[in-house]
Amino acid sequence: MNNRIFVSIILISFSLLLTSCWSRKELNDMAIASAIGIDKSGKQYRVSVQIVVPSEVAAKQGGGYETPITLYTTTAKTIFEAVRKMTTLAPRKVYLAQLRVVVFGEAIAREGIGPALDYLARDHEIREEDLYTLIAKGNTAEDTLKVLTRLTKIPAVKMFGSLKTLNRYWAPTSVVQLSDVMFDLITENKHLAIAGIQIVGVKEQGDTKKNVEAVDPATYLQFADTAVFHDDKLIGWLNESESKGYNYITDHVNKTAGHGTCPNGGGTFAIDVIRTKTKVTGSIEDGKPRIDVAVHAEGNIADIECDIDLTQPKSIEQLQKEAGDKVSEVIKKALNKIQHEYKSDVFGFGEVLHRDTPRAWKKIKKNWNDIFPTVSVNVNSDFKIRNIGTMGNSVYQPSEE
Amino acid sequence: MPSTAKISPRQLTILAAIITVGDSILILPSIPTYEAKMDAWISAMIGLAVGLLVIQLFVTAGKLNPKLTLVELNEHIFGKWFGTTISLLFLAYGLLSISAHLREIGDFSVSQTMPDTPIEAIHILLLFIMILAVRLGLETFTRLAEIIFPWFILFFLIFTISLLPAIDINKIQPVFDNGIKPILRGSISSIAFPFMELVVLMMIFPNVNNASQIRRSMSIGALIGGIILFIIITLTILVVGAEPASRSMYPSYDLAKRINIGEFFQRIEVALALVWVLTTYFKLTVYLYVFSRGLAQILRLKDYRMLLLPTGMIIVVLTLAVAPNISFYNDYTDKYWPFLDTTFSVFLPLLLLAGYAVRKKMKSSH
Repeated sequence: MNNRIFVSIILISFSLLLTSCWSRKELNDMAIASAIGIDKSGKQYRVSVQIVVPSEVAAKQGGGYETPITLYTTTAKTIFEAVRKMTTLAPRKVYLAQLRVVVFGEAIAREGIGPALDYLARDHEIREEDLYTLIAKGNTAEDTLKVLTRLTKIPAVKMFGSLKTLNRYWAPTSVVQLSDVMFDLITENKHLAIAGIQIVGVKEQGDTKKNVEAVDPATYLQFADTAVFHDDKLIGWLNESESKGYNYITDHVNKTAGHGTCPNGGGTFAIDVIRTKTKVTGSIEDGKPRIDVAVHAEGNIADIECDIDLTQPKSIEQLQKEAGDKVSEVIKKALNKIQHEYKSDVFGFGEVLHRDTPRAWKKIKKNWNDIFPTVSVNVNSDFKIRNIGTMGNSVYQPSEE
Repeated sequence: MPSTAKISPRQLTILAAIITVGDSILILPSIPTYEAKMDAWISAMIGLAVGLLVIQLFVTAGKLNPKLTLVELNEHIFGKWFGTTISLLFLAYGLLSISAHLREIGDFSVSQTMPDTPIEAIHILLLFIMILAVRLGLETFTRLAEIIFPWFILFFLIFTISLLPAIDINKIQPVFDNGIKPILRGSISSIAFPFMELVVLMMIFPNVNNASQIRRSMSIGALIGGIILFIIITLTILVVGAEPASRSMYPSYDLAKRINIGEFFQRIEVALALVWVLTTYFKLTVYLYVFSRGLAQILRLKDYRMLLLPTGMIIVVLTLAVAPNISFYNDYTDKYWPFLDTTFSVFLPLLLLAGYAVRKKMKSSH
């Protein structure tokens, strides 16, 4: 009898262990944040959080279209306080573990994003390993996060998705995760480059559902250019082609498209670049640091708009050379702008010299910022054309005049 | 009180491997990466080599009389008063270690996943199952370790393989950038935390049913554990990078967060953290067993089990008392703990060997 009572007490006490932990969060108590935007307003942070409205995202029949997201914006001395302050606006606690992107306004980027990063790294909910970082070009992060998008209802998911496709097929901006930003920031003598995002169209209209009702929305978001930093401060932008050059050097081009001029005058051809590999090596020549950039690229012919006989292996060779030169040209343009205009080592050449010539690096380390613009960079690109698509010679043969 | 529990050399190997990994898998990587930066993997290698030597030393001391536990050996060699004093010091070290390691688990859970949970709740829950295991005896929890070990290895392999795509070889170069000194500084904790702390197993040497195999078992176990730690530290540098790792509280947790295969196999860090909590749990259980059994031998108690609940209560308080905050905790484990480990894993065996030699000489001169 005693034994039975004892067993039942034990069994009942087990149920106490089933109440789960103190820190439990019920799904319907959370406001799931998909993007966070950080701006400055005076000396305070202005933090905007894009919250997913679950009932709008879920599949359903009928019903009117309401906005799938809502934006909470608060201002406080620190980002942490601003996020907590959102409880004054939101009925639920903001949950940050599903964040997809973090957007910095251009103004705060010019002032320096360093101080703002600490909270993002320290908070246990935020996973900096898969959080893309963006700079709102010519805008505030707040306005950027207000724009509604089509095809993908949640704008942050749209940004996340297009960044991934962008990275895979076009490579015009620098796609970086927050953890990469932090890594670059604490790596001595390597500066940051972060993708930019801009609002195209009428800014004021982007946050109404009217905007997404049209086939061709009046306001939309576009990834554009790459922000160049010196330490944690934005100092300028690279345009699309320069960004591509930057990506070639840092070996971030997976697939891209390029064009060149046909050898026998006039007309252009386009190339589908399918894989590239860049090797950057450093050496010391006559006591001066030197960088070699060797690009190996492979591609297929995608478009021929000139008179060339593709059945001849020789013409492929000519096109190969032209494509290679084009890649070198793109790279050199980016190099020129960064070395001479921005003077900020976003390529990590310092780290390359550190790896390849550790002893010499110790001497030049201190003056690296002054030496960087004068470093001679030798670009060498080797392009291989493998296929020419689903047909031989072009249907279009320009008539000779 | 001679314990009748018997474990096989194979089981000792598994225990040694699990204890080597223990809590080190969670907290160790940040210390050598802080000192030696990207050369931390060399520190880990030195740690493994020196660690294996230290193990030879205390196995030799344990073999002076393989039928006696460390506490009995102390008394046998140094006599009642001096021997008991040394044993009490050793047990105090054991108790302090339990509290410190338990605190690690508590701090980890509270800072990474459950910020609102009182740390005591985590400590008490873990202590509860530790006491449960020790009550059931050495044989039982060793068998449990035997069952869990293959799963641990499986998880570790999944972990390693899924991180291979994230490796960036540039992060480890150049080698020997800052010379040998930081590497040696970094290796101190890589020797102490995983390998020197194996000294507690001297208390269960008499329970191994084939005493001649002890040296082999200990060495192989430590080697397996050491290789796992070496891989973890190297991966930390290759994936996370030395600088961020040295700033991180739990680099291996950051490492697990990087796992992302096809946007599908991702966010598994909590599952992996559970495995690390498990290895630490085994380390803690062995410590608790060693402490209670050692104390029972000193006090000439028939059974060590009655000591478990009071010990548990002391530990609950001690885990909170070891450090007022996490910075203090990290500071004193980094700076002073390796010396505490050295005292008991190097100086104590040396003292035992010296004492034994002196006694032998005295006997032969009689």
